[in-house]
Amino acid sequence: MSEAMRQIGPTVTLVPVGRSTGVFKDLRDLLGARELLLALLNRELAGRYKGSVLGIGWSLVRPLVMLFIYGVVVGQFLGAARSVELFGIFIFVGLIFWNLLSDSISAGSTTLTVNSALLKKVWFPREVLPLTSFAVSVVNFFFQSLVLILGYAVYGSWPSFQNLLFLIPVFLIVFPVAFGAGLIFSVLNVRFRDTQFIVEVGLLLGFWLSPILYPWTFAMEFLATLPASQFLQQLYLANPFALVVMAAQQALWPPMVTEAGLKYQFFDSVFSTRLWLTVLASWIFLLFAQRIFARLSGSIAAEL
Amino acid sequence: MSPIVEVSGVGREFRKYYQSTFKEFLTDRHAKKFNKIFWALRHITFNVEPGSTVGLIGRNGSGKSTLLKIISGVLTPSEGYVTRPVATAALLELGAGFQPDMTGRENIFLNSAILGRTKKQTLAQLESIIDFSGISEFIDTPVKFYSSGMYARLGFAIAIHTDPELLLVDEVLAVGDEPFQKKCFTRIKEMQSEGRSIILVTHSAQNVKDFCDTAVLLDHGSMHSIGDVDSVLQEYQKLP
Repeated sequence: MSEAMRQIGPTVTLVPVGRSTGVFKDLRDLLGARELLLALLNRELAGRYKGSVLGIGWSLVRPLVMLFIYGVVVGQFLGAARSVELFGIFIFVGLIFWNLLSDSISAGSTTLTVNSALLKKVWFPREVLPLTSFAVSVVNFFFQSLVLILGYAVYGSWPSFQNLLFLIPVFLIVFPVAFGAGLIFSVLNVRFRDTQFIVEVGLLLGFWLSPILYPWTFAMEFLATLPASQFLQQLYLANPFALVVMAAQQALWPPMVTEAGLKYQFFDSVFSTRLWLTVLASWIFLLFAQRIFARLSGSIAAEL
Repeated sequence: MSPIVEVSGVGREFRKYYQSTFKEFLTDRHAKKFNKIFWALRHITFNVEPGSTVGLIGRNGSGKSTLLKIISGVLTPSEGYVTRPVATAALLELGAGFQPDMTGRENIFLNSAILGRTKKQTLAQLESIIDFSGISEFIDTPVKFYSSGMYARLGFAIAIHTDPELLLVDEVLAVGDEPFQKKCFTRIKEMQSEGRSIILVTHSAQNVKDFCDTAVLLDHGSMHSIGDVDSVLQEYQKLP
């Protein structure tokens, strides 16, 4: 009797790898896992700093130390600060956006291997794990932004409201690039453990090939002296990390609107097109990454 | 009535050898061992009627656990398909995903979320979960200090409180002492009477007799026989 009364709820059909039912179904599954995302985020944040006195404050220590080292060594010893106003703010803006991207990509690339015990025993939408890596970086980014605001207050210099609109394309690039790279590298790392090391090296290169510690015009000037200079300059600017950093500086580095900053402005119609094309490319990349992930993630429980 | 679980022509192949670095990928590309595959499971077809309990039996390596993993979704099938309720709780390993540094209470929320529950739902059942686990005294202790028995008890308590339509049980009940096992069995009986469906993997003929309406005998990855418990158990005895 009780058996007849039980309502049968929604069902799921499990099919072979490569015949998954598409990106919309996967997106629905992922949206259904919001609570899981929050729980995993809480595990990452609360679990990581558990028992430490500073707690989440530790997430600020590394960027502040980086700021100090780069500010002193690159800014003062190497003299970069002499040609860039508010050099501290300048590099900090670049650093926090760089950290947002690189932290989520490097944590994302190992997230499936780190959570192998879970993946082998419990079913849930696997995309949640790389997405959690991104969410952790966003939380850290939030705290680092507070330090940036403090920096504005200390220097008494604020970015213009209009320029803040540049943050829209910046985040429209950051999310798909960081999440997409997390998806691809995490699933590749299950099969090829070299992936995480290649990612590390790639991020190291990406750091110095993005205008974080120097204005992008410095790189342009140097590349202009080389043969095939046009091509190399275009290549440098095709790097989505570089574009993110440049657009973030445009939005958040106060001197950008003054005469001193004029020569570092990158915003003209060509750059604007480039920026929005990169937004488009990033979302196509995310779609592509999700398809790869869906295809490969079915066999990870067997390979971990 | 339509079945609650439909397993149709399911097979799963494994490679005998997986490359794990680019070097092996590049150098062993054409090596024979690389391409060797074997079927751990093939041509598995059966249904589970709502409210019934199916026992999967077979020797070690017969593919029981692989099949259970495919039904749970942890492994995808290589061929065929499985249709099952979304609300499925798999007791493949109790306390999988526990975070050692977090307390028992915090892990209840984390583990429930992994099993697809919302925070609200978990909150509503928190007392009942803690009560069933029988470790309320240590619920605010980090689980890294738990004994394996405590670990399993908390894991079981969480899993059975997820209001599953289908419960997958993989010999996890072998852990824990006798009183706890008894408690688990009582709870499983209760869930049966509530009309929930169960798929049970076990070596124990007694368990099959006690719990199951139907038994499926697997042998070397294929279905040997299916039917009522007694006749399938007889077939099992006859296996060489």
